[in-house]
Amino acid sequence: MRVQELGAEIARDYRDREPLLIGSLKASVPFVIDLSRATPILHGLDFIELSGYGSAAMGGHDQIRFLKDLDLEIAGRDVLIVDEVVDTGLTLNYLNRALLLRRPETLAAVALFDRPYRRLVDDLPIRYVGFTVPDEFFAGYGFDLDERWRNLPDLHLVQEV
Amino acid sequence: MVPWFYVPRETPIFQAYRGEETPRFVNEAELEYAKILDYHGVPWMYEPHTFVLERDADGRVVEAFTPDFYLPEQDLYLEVTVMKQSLVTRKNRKLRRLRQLYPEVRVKLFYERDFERIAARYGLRKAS
Repeated sequence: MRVQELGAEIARDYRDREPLLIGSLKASVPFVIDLSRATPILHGLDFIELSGYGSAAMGGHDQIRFLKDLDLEIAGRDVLIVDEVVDTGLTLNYLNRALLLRRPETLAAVALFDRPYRRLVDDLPIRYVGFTVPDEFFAGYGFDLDERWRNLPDLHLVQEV
Repeated sequence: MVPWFYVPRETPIFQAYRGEETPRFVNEAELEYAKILDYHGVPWMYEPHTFVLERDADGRVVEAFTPDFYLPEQDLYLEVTVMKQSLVTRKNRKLRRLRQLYPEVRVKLFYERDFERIAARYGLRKAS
């Protein structure tokens, strides 16, 4: 329901502009797809994948980088980064800076979940927020626990034992 | 000659570090936070400023607070702890005092729970 509302807001704000939704693999996939279907205007869809910090900590690369770059050019386009959750803002901050170098017409972000109380980076281009959520773990709807449960259609609160 | 028991601490080459001296972290959580900031290219400094919280009648510093990190682009101080929120009474009190005396200073305290969340998000093991 909330995703429908977000799609309607985006359709209203980007009427006649054909924005490009950019999802960050992998957790945002269900949200991006649902949001795309809920956005009744012409728009593009593309995906990126960023390297995970965990592999760097285990001795790999030591800077965040694209594992999969965009397929489409974004210069002059209205870009919407679609993220499943923003907490510290570090990843979105990197993505924002990296994509701005490609000179999009506008760049904004949609977050399904927001945890502003854990923010380390300000000045993020978050324009649409699904829910401001408490400090809990979730699984399902793209969120994983050790790469499991992403496929669950609904969100589940993970109980810590 | 290096003694047989000498084990060098991990000294990563930081690229977003904006301090002059090599940071000497007091626990693994601080090191991990530093690495995460560095990984994302967010400029950071380690303990660059000390805030005086109390002086005695002779003007000597009785109590002070040195946040662990300073993010110059965000103008934000970050204090990290691996203690539970319920066990950091003294640190919380210092933080309150800091905010009273220096209301213009932006500072955040990250607790054990925050580190667990960040560790989970970035695929880390919880520091011991």
